[in-house]
Amino acid sequence: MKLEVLYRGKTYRFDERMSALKLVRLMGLSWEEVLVLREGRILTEDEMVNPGDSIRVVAVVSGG
Amino acid sequence: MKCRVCGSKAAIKLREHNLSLCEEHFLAWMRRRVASTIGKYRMFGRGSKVLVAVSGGKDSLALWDLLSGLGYSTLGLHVDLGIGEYSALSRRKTEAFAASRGLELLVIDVRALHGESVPERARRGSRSVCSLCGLTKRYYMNRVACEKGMDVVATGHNLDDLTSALLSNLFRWDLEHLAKGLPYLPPSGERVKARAKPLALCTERQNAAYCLLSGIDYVEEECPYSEGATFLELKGVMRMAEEISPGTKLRFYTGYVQNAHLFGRPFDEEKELCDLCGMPTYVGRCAFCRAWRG
Repeated sequence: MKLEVLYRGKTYRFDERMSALKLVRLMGLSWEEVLVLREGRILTEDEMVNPGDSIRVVAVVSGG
Repeated sequence: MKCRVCGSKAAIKLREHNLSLCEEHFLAWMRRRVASTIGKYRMFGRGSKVLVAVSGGKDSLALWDLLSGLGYSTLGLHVDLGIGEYSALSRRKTEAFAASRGLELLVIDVRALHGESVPERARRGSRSVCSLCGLTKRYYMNRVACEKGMDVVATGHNLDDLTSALLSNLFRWDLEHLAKGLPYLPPSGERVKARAKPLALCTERQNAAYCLLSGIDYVEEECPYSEGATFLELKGVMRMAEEISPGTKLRFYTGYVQNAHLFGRPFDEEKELCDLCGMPTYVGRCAFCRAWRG
């Protein structure tokens, strides 16, 4: 089972258990530019995400 | 990570305040934050009539929800710019939000009023799409506020918008815009309404979290014309500074507000009235009428 991450309409898959902060950095993003959600709940940076989880990463930077 | 108020599981850590909060106490913190910003910068009072500019994005919908929740008398204004599916989606989400909260909304449909959309008009004129979009929104915000007898126009500009604009203006030593970056600009005469930015001290991350936790369905997609825009790069610069030293954005902006008088008065008096629309202008015909009516 994979850790599935939906971000800007694309799905990314990971094998390992890691912190939400590590996941965001692995995706080349900064913690301050996104929110990480699991089942509609916002995760703090120290919370662990696991294979089998469905995660949504929401960009918070807006245009004009 | 625990909520500092109640000790339950935290939903968000506000690094710049060294504060972790659960969902309930974060939402309460946002309400207090906006109420105190309105008071701190003397934006408007309990009896004021507030025109809220609503795009359908996270900032403006959070603002409208917060202001109405705080008990202010509001009227929403949405300007449909005719930018394809992006504008159609923005309008649908704004109308759905207003209906779900029982709030009054006025929609200005640019294509219906002028026969063409902002991108179509921009192709035939000298202004870029972004410049014409900004001009059109500012014009209708002020004009509708005048026509509807509103006291102030409130916009959803957040701390990230304001610090990236400040940085851009400093890079260019643009004194005119440096004088105008304040969270509140007072009215000028009868036809230039006061402008307020009640989310000036809230980050866009906080505004997005507020919407997600409040069940507000906002437009996540970006305007197709904002891709690669310089101010998005400058937001990235500010984000890097914030990561190195949490609180940088807040210190940068509040320090600017304390020192903004060094850059002169916020705006010149616009003494003439446009010969076509009757709104204030520096000379003869206003920029909006020149852009849309030739």
